[in-house]
Parts: sequence; C-alpha cells; structure tokens
Amino acid sequence: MTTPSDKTLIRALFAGDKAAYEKLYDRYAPLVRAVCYDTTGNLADAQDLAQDVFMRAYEKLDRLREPARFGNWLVGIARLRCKEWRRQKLRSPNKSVRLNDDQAVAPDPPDNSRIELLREMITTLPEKERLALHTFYLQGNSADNAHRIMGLSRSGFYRVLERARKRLEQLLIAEQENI
Amino acid sequence: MKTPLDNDLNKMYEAFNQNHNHLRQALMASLPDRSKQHKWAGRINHALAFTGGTIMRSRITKLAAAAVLIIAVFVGIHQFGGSLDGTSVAFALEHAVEALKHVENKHMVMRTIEPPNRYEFWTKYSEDGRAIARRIESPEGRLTVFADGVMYNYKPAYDRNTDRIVKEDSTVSIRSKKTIDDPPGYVEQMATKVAEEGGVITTKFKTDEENGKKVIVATITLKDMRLKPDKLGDVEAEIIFEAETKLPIRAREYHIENGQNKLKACYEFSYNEKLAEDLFKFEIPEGVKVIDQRKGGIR
Repeated sequence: MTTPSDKTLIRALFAGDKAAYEKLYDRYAPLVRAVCYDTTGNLADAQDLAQDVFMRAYEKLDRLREPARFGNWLVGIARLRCKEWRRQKLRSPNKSVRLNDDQAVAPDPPDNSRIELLREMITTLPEKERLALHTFYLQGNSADNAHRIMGLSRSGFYRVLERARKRLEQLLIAEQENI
Repeated sequence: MKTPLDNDLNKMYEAFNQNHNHLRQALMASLPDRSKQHKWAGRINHALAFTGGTIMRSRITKLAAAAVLIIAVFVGIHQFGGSLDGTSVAFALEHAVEALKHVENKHMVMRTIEPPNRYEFWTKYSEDGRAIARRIESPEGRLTVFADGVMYNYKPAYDRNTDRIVKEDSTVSIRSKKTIDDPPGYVEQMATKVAEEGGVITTKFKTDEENGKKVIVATITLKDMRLKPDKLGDVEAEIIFEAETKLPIRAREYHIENGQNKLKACYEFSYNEKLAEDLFKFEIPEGVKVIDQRKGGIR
C-alpha cells in the first residue's frame, strides 16, 4: 500500500477526516521536536513546543497555500514558535518555561556518552546543516521528503547533509584526540 | 551502506519519538473539528479584513498595525512569488510582526526635497514594543526629546542675518505626555493614510542584491490620497526591505503630478544601533524662555 502524500492527507482533513491529521502528526512530530530541541535544549520543553506548533498549524491550515509543502510550512511555524519561546525566556527569566531539571525528560540514557556528545555537537552546527540532519534521519534516512521540507533540490540537500556529516566527523575526531 | 555515524545518529534521533503515542492522543483530543473552523481565502479584501482584525486586538497600536499591514503585503507578495491572496498575506504577517517585535530602537533619517531639509529620528522601544523614548533633530537646531513621560520642544530663535541663535528669543516648552505615536516615519504615515482614507494599493516587486545583502524592492501606489486639504493625488513609494530581517531600510516618496513622478522625500532606516547614553536626555540651555505646560508648571 502506498503512503498517502501530505497533499492527500490535507485534502482528507478538509473533507472532515480528522484522523488524517494524526498521520501528519506521526510523520512530522519527531522532526518538529528536534527543531524545537535545538532551541530549548531539553526534550520536555521541546515536546511542549511541538504540541503547540501542531495546534497552531491546525488552526492555520486554511492559510497553507501549497499542501504538498506542508512539512516545509510546519518547520517554518516551529522556527517562529522557537523564536517566541526564546524571547519569552529573555523577558521573563524568573518565569522559566523550561521544566525544572528534575522534571525534565532526559532525551537519552546518560550512560550513552557518544550519543550525548553527538547531540551536543549538532547544536553547534549551522541551522541549515542541523535541519538537514534532522530531516534526513527523522524521515526514514531518505532524502525523498527531506529535500522538500528544506526547500532544496535533491542534490542541494545532499550537499548540505554531507557537509553536516563531515563537520560532525571532524568534531568527533577532535574530541577523541582531546581525550 | 550505513556507517557507524549513521547508526549513532539514528539512535540519537530515537529520543524524539519518546511518548509519541501519548502526545498524539493528547493533541488530537484538544483539536476542534475542522468544520467549526473559519475558512477564509480570497484576494486582498479578505487579507485586509484578517490583518486588521487580528492586529487591532493585540497590544500593537493602530498606527503600528497599519505599518504591519503594509509590510505584510510586501513580504507576502515577495514570499509567494508575485501573487497576492489572503493566505499568503496572513502567513507573511507573522514574519513582519516578528520583525517589528525584535526592534529595540530605530533610527530614521528623512530628507525632503523642497525645501531641502534633513530630519533625524531615534526611537527606543520597550520589550513589549511600545515607543518609550524619542529624539527628533529638525532643521535650524530644533529639537524634540521625549522620555519618562515628559516631552521637551526646543525652538531656537535663528537669526538668518547673523547666522546665530538668539538665546533670549529661543523657547523650550515642556509638557507631560504619557505615550507617543508609534512609530513615526514614512512607511507608517503611508500606512495610516491607507487605513484612514482607503487608498488603493498596487505593488510590484523585485528581489535584488545590495552591498552583498538580499533586499526586496517594493513599489506601492496609493491612489487618490489627500496630498493637501483641497487636493487629491496619487502617491508612489519605493520601499526597500532587507530580505533577511523583513525590516524596511530605505524609502523614497513621489507625488504623481501630471503623470510625472516628483520626488518628495527620501528615508533611511536603521535598527538596534548602539545609542549614546544621553541621547534621550534634555538639558535646558541657559537663558532661553521656558514654557512649562505641565500641571503646576510656569507658563
């Protein structure tokens, strides 16, 4: 059975099939959480922000001009929401929107140091390269949809992805040499 | 073939699936049915209705809202490849509002052509986007400073024969003022005219490179605007936005007279400059006449 495209799902949603949004959520929620994580630095806040992003997207679906570009549009909303979150944090440093450390959900077991290191290193990459990694690895290790989400040609996407991977490898080597 | 790095990255990204089912359930339970949603689409009228409706309810002032409207229209057309409809404008609005919210201060230089004058404005904004301080330097040494709820207007008496300021004839008027119109400037004035007088907007766009930066060049024509109390005419403005920030950086204003564009004024905008600490402070010069219009003040 072929996977329904974003466009098909959005049409179904407009026709009253609310379950279509569940499918879109399954397809994009991990990616949106990853984008939000780049800003929040903890998974609990990233999950909250991602929920908010999907809520907003649902409310604003009428404004989506090209349903086939839903992923790209959604990531745009996520980036805007992240900016708001950052601003909110700056304005109300005492009213932290981030959970306390003991409430925060650790995104990975602490004993897996290489994974932890990778996560830290990814946050140091340029935004475009981060997004290339997120989209590729959270869209089934495939560039089919990832390049559309980023609004790049397939070859352009691979170039950015390769750059990101190379940079990560270099960082890992440098880290090992330091150790 | 997957490399060890691929495997590690896949493992790392698994974290973003944590609690997925639970979160999906929670989200779906909170969503209304789409049939209850207001569905709107269409051309400019819808966009304007939406823009006004949303912005006027927010804390942004009416004037700023009108400015946002103009910027939204510009950005909307740019982003969506030349077409203008409610959807694109409304989406672009978010970018424009976002851009304005981030401005800490604005510096505008205005040059009029006839007479050839130069004005300089600095405005400082609070975190919630209100104008909280302003300095305006006008020709012939005139100066307006607003800060902490007090407005000073300094009008030096300028003797053209001697090319000197006559101190004893110069005045400083002081009055209390809770807020100031926000923000002043050409884009806003144009926008206000559109909002109040219902000018017709037509636009054309191109994206350009300037000093290595991508800019959006927008031309806006306002039909049948009230140029003078008894005179209607068309106004055209070319506004250049920085593509990255979506903020206007330059503008030129033309009045269309007998089918010819006549340049009236040029504007330059810059944002978030490092301002001198005493920029919004005013010290009354010695020997000038002080007219204190505040309650209990000396008149």
